[in-house]
Amino acid sequence: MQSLHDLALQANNAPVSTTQDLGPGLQYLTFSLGGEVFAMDIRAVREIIQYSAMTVVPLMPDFVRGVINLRGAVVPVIDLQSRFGRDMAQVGKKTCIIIFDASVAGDKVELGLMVDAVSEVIDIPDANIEPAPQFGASIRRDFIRGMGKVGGEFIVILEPERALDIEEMAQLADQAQAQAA
Amino acid sequence: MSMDADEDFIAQAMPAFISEAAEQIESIETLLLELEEQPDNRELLDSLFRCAHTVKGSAGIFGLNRVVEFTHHVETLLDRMRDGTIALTPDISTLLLQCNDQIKFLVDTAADPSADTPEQMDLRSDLVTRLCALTDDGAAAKTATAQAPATAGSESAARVWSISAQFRTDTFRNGMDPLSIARYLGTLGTVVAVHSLAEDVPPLGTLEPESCYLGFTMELETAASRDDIEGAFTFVMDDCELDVVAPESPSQKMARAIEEMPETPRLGDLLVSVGAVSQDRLQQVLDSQQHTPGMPSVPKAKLGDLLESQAGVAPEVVAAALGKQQKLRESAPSEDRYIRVQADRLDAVINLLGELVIAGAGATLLARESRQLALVEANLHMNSLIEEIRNGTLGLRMVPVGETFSRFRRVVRDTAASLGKEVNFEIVGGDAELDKSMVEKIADPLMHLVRNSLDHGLEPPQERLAAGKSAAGKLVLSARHETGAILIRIEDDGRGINRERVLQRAWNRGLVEQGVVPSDDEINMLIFEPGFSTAEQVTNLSGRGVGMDVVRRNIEALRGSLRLISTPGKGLQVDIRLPLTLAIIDGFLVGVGKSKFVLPLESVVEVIESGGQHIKVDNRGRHCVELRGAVLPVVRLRTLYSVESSLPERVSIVVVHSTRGQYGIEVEVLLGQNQTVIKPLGRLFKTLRGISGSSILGSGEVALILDVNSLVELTTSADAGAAQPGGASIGGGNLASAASTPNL
Repeated sequence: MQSLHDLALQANNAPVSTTQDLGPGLQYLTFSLGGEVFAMDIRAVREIIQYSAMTVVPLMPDFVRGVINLRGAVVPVIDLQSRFGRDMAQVGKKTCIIIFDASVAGDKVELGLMVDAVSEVIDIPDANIEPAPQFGASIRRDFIRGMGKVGGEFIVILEPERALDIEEMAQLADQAQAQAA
Repeated sequence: MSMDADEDFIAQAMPAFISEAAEQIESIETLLLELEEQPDNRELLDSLFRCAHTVKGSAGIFGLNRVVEFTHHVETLLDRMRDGTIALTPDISTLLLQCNDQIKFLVDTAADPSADTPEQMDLRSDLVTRLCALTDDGAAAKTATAQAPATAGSESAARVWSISAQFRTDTFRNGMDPLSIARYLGTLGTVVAVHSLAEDVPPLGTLEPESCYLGFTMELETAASRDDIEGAFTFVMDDCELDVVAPESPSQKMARAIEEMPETPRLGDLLVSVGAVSQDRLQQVLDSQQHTPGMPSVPKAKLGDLLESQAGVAPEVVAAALGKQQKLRESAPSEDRYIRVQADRLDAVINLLGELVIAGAGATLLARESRQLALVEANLHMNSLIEEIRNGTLGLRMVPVGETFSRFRRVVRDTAASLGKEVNFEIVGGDAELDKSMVEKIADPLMHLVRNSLDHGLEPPQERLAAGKSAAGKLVLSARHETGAILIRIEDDGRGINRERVLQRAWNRGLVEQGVVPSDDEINMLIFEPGFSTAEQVTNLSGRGVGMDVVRRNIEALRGSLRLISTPGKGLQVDIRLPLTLAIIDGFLVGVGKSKFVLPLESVVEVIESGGQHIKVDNRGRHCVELRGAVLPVVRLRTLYSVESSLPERVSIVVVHSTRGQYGIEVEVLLGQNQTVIKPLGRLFKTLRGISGSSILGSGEVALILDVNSLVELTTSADAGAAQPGGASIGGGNLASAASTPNL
């Protein structure tokens, strides 16, 4: 298990991608998903754990991979690939689960996010973030908080409130059950 | 102690006061309602007075003048009732209930005087006026309310003080005359009684005319303060033993005060605390008791007798104190003792205990794998201890449901009155225990159902008489334990559910497709659908169609179930079944493919071995087995949950009972029973059917807990009524007709 702290250290040591001159900004965790790089606000991230076998919850849509035991708490794991409407993610050597706090109606709920690999923690100044494109993005527009310019390339910054909206996912789960039954 | 320290202390103790006062207020309400039924019950009246007195007393400690003032008036009325001068009428009872609400309001807003609105103040002064009108000291009280926050407006009334003075021998020589003091006291008020204490007067031969041997006791009715009275003795302070005893404590009152003492072990203390004798005087008497010369065989003079003779304590007071002491001795061992514990501390312990149960299961698993017998045994022992701790700790959270039930008395009374209906409300089995958190959560749904019964179920008296029923309706709220669950039943003898109207409404509202007639039970359950209401006239109590669906949701959220048994014209019975606790259940672990599921052990009836071939499939794809000549529907988890694995040779069928009758669940591996800590699955899975939660196994795996009641519904909705327990014999097409229900 690789701790967040180590990752943060790595990020600090890495000479690339730190552009602090451009005013205030936040730290983002980048990860790869189906060959693409995504970023998310690191403040919500609790920890990153290795992928391990999980309990499948029957009758749930594909993007709900199952539940894991996180030190006594039962945490659902979302397959982000599948949530984006793509095929279910394949489990590889570097597959990780990002545990983060999703907020539902003011409450915090722990949620696991299954990704292909976690890359690094980077600073992206606010000035380098552009709004989501009107079209041409690979995922739903409302899932995108913005496009971060890092080293001449754009990285999709996720909007977890929308992409991982528990209420919406619960509705989808309900529909999936109705179909199964 | 500085002022700040005082304030700190008060701020810290305030929550305790508020919660304690809330309990007293709740008791007052209960007692009042009980008293309504048995107006002659002296004990109830006494308890009532005690409660009010306790609230007033503790509010006084906290300087909550508004509470003290107001409660004082209530107390006065109650005191008159105890004297027998005022009898309890329904009006008085209503007034007292309203006053109790006001006390509650005052206590709740104790920390924040700004919450006291002018409306509340008006209401309060109105209540006080009515109270005073009853107790006849209107004049005094009006001044009290007029000068609102100024306390003790009515204190100026004359009170009776007991004064006892024993003079030293040198009094005369010092130029003092007890008689003149007694005369002076007489000018302060009215002397009710004077008694001279002449016990110390020696025989004539040894009497010295210049010595003073006398003392006196006096009952003085006066408006003067203690200082004024003691002032009369200023010049003889050094020459006399003076006792000025609290006003309003004539012997009878003292005796009663002793009776009311919660716990006071020593006779002397008892008497001191009611003001029958001062601490100093008691000490002297005790000293003299020690020094009483006497033969060793002669028992020492009794303290009671000494107090009577030396300190002038009335014999009846001593008698009451002795009686109380005796009673306390008798009841001491059986008396309940309580420790007030913060709920979250208890929750923390219970959470840890949950972890311990999981860890214990893990250790047992490892021990078994190690095949070391001693280790396995040690673990077994540990687990049985954990189980005992678990039971004990969960028991700490258990409270009788009766407390919640009795809260409804008031609701029923007021609601019935406002609806112009007559109701006999009965509570049965209030001592059945339920988890505290459940009790809190069940109160609102129950309240709604009770109101609903009153509003929609019970008919007005004329209508009842016309239907050949007694004018007063009957409403019974009962609770009892039933196989690991609690059954709460609300039963009325009203008109029941009007199915035609319900159905008509459901058609109109589009809850049921026009022209479709569901089964009777299903029609009954329609009243729990969102947006449903049948009352032709919307009352302010119920009928807005908000609530009944919430009731069902709340109960289902507690893993409970609802059932309606309606007999049109005869009444309605609502059964609510709830698990006893939310935290831990005994589970039965089964495996299907790679997945593991937990069944609540209490719902498991038996397990039957079955080669796959015994399971019959009828022509509608439903599975059944024959069990002792009867058809048992079977739920196949692997198909239902699309578990991917090859079907093994032999399977087991776990027979479970649900609200819809018995059925079987086909599983592949039986993994035995274990204690299961229920972990909720969270909002993402809130719509998940057939599964009530999850649990972490000893190995760290997460297993899903099956909900036998919704699982069977899932399969019935999937394959139309396969789960009807049938008595028909197995046999091809015959089965289909036997098991199918008319479903239009």
